[in-house]
Amino acid sequence: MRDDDKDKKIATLRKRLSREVRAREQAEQLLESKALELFQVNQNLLVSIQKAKNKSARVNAIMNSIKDSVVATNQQMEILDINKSCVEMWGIPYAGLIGRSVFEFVENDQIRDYQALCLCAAADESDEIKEFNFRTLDGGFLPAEVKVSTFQHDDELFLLHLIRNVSNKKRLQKEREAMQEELANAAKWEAVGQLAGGIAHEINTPAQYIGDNLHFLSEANEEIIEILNKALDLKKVCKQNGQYLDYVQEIDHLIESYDLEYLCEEVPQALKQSAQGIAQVSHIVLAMKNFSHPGTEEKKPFDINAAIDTTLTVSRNEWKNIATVVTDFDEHVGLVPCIPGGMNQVFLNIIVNAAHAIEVKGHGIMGEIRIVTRKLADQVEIVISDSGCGMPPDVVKNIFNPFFTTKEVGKGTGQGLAIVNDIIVKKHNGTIKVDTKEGKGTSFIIKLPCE
Amino acid sequence: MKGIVFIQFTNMVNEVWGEDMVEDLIEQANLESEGVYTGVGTYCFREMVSLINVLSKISGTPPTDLQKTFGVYLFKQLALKYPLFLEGKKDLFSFLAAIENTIHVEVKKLYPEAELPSFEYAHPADNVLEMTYRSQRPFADLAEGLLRGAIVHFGEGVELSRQDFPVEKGSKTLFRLTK
Repeated sequence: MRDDDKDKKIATLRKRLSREVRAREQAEQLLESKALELFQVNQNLLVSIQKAKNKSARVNAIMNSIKDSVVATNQQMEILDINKSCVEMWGIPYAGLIGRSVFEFVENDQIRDYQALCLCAAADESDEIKEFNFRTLDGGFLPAEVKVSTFQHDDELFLLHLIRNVSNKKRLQKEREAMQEELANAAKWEAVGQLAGGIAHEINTPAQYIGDNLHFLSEANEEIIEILNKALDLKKVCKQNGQYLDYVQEIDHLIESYDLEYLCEEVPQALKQSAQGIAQVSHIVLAMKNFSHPGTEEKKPFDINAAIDTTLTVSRNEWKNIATVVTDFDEHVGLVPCIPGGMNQVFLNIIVNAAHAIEVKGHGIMGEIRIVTRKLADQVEIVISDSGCGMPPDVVKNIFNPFFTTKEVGKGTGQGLAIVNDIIVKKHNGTIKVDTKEGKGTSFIIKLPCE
Repeated sequence: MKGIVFIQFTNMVNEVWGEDMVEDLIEQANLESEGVYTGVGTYCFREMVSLINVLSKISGTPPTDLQKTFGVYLFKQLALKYPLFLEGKKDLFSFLAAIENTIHVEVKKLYPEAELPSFEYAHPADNVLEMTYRSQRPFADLAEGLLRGAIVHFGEGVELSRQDFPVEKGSKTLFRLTK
């Protein structure tokens, strides 16, 4: 290569080197400014991420504070997200619910309706609230009101299911209805009680004089029979002496026609039976009057034995064809401070329950209701036992709970023993215990303070 | 215009006409950058116009032909440097269809300041793709060269014809590619 060419080559390379050096400096500056820019973007990104995290945490907190269940699904009804209430409602952990179909939790015969509700929501045609039964982990169902709405995200349509558990509301509604029924019954029975009291009062007076008159007739009848016997002796003497034979013959004819011997035997019996009958009427009337006596919430000296007798009388129709009643009253029980109406209600509820328990046991054999009273040191004990069907443990633990009943719909309100418990424990500071054996019978042991 | 285009241009001149031509071009083109380019830098498009005009004057080749030649060269170099944009493209039409909505989008992410040309697509027939090129710059010939480079790359024997439209500024050209 010639020197000129060499020089030219060197000059070219120098120029190129100079450009490359400057290009490198330029690139370094660019790199630096890009790095700075990147750092700034990164900082902004971190702030944005933190903000997004905070926002997400806030949204989660809001969602989890909602007492209703919130479920987000896609249009295929696959669960994408849920809130805490939903986890609690279905009793399944979060991870166990994600990806499952909402329909898995809807009662089979309601799935079609649920689909229809979702379709309406997706078409933005309806925002109505409908009730569905959702499966629970224990195999049961819980009623819930459902409202479905939609939302858009990333050009996709999603569904938001708001599910409100209404089992508590339903239970309260049922209790309210039972309470209303109970109040209606109470009002009805109060009216019947007042009416019975009035009727008892009206019957009592004629029953009294019928009884008195029957007593008088019995005594008069004995005197008449005494006179009649003397007259028959006279007739006998006349017949022997051949005197007043026409009269004697006529009297003999009448004695034979009317069967005097039968009359003399039966009339006292009839009068005696009538007197017993009217005495029983008086007893029942008095029991009704006592039982239906207008209620008072004040305690009064109360004859427990007499009250049980009265209750047995008024409830006789409930047990007379089912059981025999055996009473074993302690005469020393005496008068105990009680709310009369309340205690009558207690005895009536337990005796009627005893009769029902014997009826449920069936077998067509007469059962037995045994009522024993005992005077203890400072208490009175009343034990009412029956030979009925008894109760299993899961029933026993609930019998004093309001609205608990094993009786068929419409037969029991589930209030009877709850009221008994309330009257004995709260109103009389007493105790009530139950001793039961399935298939053998039940005993209620009540203890009331004497003072 | 990105520095990489200028670097590839000087590389081409170096390969075809020699390093002295590169020096002559830089000296005569009166460039603001003085011919100092980095790939990621951004430079005025007028420098490219000047470089091509000077090269045309020295070499006696029309600027339009130079742009087309450079386009073919540039496509080949870009394909080597950025194979990512060609991955998964089974034929020329699917690659070209991705330019506007994929490749330009990615370029914009990296270089927000880049002023890119736009393409509108039409399929008058299954074997025909029409691309309407619009740019604020007078580089329709460069675009044609790039398209021809792509045709070579895919080797499908596609024919290219073009129709230019008069515009106040820049260029508007309809490229028709027929299989």
